[in-house]
Amino acid sequence: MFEEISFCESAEKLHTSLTKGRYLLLVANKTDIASLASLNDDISFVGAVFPRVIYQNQTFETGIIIAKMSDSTLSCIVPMDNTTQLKLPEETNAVLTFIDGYSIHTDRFLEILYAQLPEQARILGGGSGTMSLDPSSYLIFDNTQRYTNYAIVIASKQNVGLGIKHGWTTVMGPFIATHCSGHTLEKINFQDAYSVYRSIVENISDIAFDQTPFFTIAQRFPLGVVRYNKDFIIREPFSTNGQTLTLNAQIDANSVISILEGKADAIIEAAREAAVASLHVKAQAPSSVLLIDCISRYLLLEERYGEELDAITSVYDSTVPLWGVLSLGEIANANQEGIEFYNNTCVIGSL
Amino acid sequence: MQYLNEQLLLTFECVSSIGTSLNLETMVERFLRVFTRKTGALASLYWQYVSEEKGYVECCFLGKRALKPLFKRPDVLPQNDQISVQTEGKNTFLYVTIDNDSMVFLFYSDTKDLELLCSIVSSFHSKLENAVRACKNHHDLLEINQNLERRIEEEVAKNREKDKHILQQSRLAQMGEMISMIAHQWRQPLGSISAVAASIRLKVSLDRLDTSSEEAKEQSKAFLLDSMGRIESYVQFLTHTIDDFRNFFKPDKQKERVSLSRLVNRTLDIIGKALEINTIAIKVDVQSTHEILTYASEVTQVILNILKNAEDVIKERHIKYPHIFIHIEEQEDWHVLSIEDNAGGIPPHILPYIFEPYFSTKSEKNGSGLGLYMSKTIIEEHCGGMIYAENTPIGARFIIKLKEE
Repeated sequence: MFEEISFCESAEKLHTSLTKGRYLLLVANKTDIASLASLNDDISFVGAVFPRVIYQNQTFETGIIIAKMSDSTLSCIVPMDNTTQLKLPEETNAVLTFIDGYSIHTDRFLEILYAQLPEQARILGGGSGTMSLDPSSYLIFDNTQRYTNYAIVIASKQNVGLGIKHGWTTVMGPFIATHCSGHTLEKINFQDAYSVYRSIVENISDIAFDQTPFFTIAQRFPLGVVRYNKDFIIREPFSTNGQTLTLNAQIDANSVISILEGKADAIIEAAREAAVASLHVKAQAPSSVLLIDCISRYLLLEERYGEELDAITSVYDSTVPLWGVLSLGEIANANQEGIEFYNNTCVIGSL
Repeated sequence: MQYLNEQLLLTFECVSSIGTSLNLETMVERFLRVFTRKTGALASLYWQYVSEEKGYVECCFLGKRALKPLFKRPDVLPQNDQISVQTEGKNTFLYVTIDNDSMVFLFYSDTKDLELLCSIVSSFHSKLENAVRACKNHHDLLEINQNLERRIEEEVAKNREKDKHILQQSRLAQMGEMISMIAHQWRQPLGSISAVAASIRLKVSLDRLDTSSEEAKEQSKAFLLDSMGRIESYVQFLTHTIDDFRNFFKPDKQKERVSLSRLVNRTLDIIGKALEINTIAIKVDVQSTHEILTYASEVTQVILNILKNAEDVIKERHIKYPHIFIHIEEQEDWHVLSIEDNAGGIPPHILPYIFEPYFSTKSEKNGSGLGLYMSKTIIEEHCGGMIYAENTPIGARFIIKLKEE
């Protein structure tokens, strides 16, 4: 999929370091990318903006990950609400996608993208975005322009290994999401979602809702959508109006949910397990490890986040570079099941 | 989460996902999505049995399209239980038969894992089947309604065509009646013109137009001038009559402010002579001269039609001392014109039908059966009023009610 992975502190430096070819650029939120427009014509790129980028065992709020695509890799930028132009080659074995993390078309787009994949093909990716949570941001770009509500799709013949884990555990549940509308959870067990959520979290923790930003509370106590005989899918509320909870992904009405709690050790261990799982499904040794990790995990772990990166890299040969992004939503299909848009999850691809 | 709980909760979510949609595709897609997501199925497909085609058509597929060839058509599969599991290599299929339709889920798990799923599906199978039947019944009902709508549209179009035809026939019938009325109106002045011409001819043939002396010359000149004047007067009357008829035939595009008594007078200008010849006495009692905004020509046409009907029935029944009584008054918001004759009334068994098209009691050539139908259409649909008929002890009374605007 990629020939070479490197990191550059600023867009200006790319003028001297990039050679002719096609690139995927993963840009940290605080990086000025205005100068990318003046790169040579023989340098073609697609890129996306994230809260932070990961290179080796560090995260950066400024800088660009540069992934040079191999000749056989196909890349394109497609509108998420109109996928008619999306056509994947039959020999595709892996798809990497970075979507507009604020799009309301995420579920439909992923379903259509997934339907096109060959039987054994795997998919991974994440939601681009910034910590300002500004839905009008232009998060996806290429040589010619910046896009909103678009997605990058990169298809390759290469087989990838995939690991998906989160590490959150149930502290209370089950509940029923009795009223939902798109990304808004209106009622839990027929009562205002926020009231139920608040009373439970106050019961199980010493958090004072009046003195703590809601975003911080929700990072620690996200919701888990229960599946039969499977791990739950995490949905993180990121805002409230005092009655409803706004999630960063869609939730179906009458879904069974639980309130989860994240503990640092379990989250770090889950990342390591994801790394191990990514090796189990990959025949040959990986040339690089792509980490798509939720920004909420970084914010929750704070100074211990480095331990998660260490746990991941400990699984691989020390020469294998680790690169990736802290994302707003993670994308993967585990064990060939249907595609999911995860939150608070660690997705690792052995490339 | 307790294992038992998971089964109950999956059942709850699946039952909830059946929802209330009466669109089969929507309902099935939602159910497949929830079931597939919650159970980790790789793909799912719903086959709908179409009895007209005696075969299955694909209704909804979820998952990678590349997996679709793994799904066999239900008609090539052996008949199994309502819910069954079959394993082919690494693929395990869960088959669910619902009201002749077939729902299939593909898993990469062993048969044992799916036994519990079968139990879960079995617990809500009848609800799902009811929902599928409801969707199909609704679809059938919609089709019936659509056919009905199409048939109604066709019938309405036919009726419109029939109305056009009726209108055309009515116009032709009215024209015939008009010609008859013109004949009545013109007979007397034409006779008079002829008499004047004959007297001139007689004078000439008897050589009585004397020009031998100045006095005789003056007398002859005076006679000729008088005759010419009378002829001119009759011709003017004829011209006036033609104008009246022409105005009558010209339908109003715009409403006009006019009193009912004026409309009665206009009508009597046209038909009065004919009634007079048949010795039918007309009495007009005007209690209100209030003007209303209406289509004057059309209302005149209705009054004329009722008077003509009265004339016809009076003549047909050879009524002695025939008369028509016209009464104009105001009743609350209505301006009412009633026309009453002494011709014995309308037989009660036909009274309810007299305003229907093609209904006539007149003998053969006289009745088109359209006059009262057109009158009702004009008064009620065009002018927003009412028209009805009733019997009095001596005859029939037609009542026309119009609003001020």
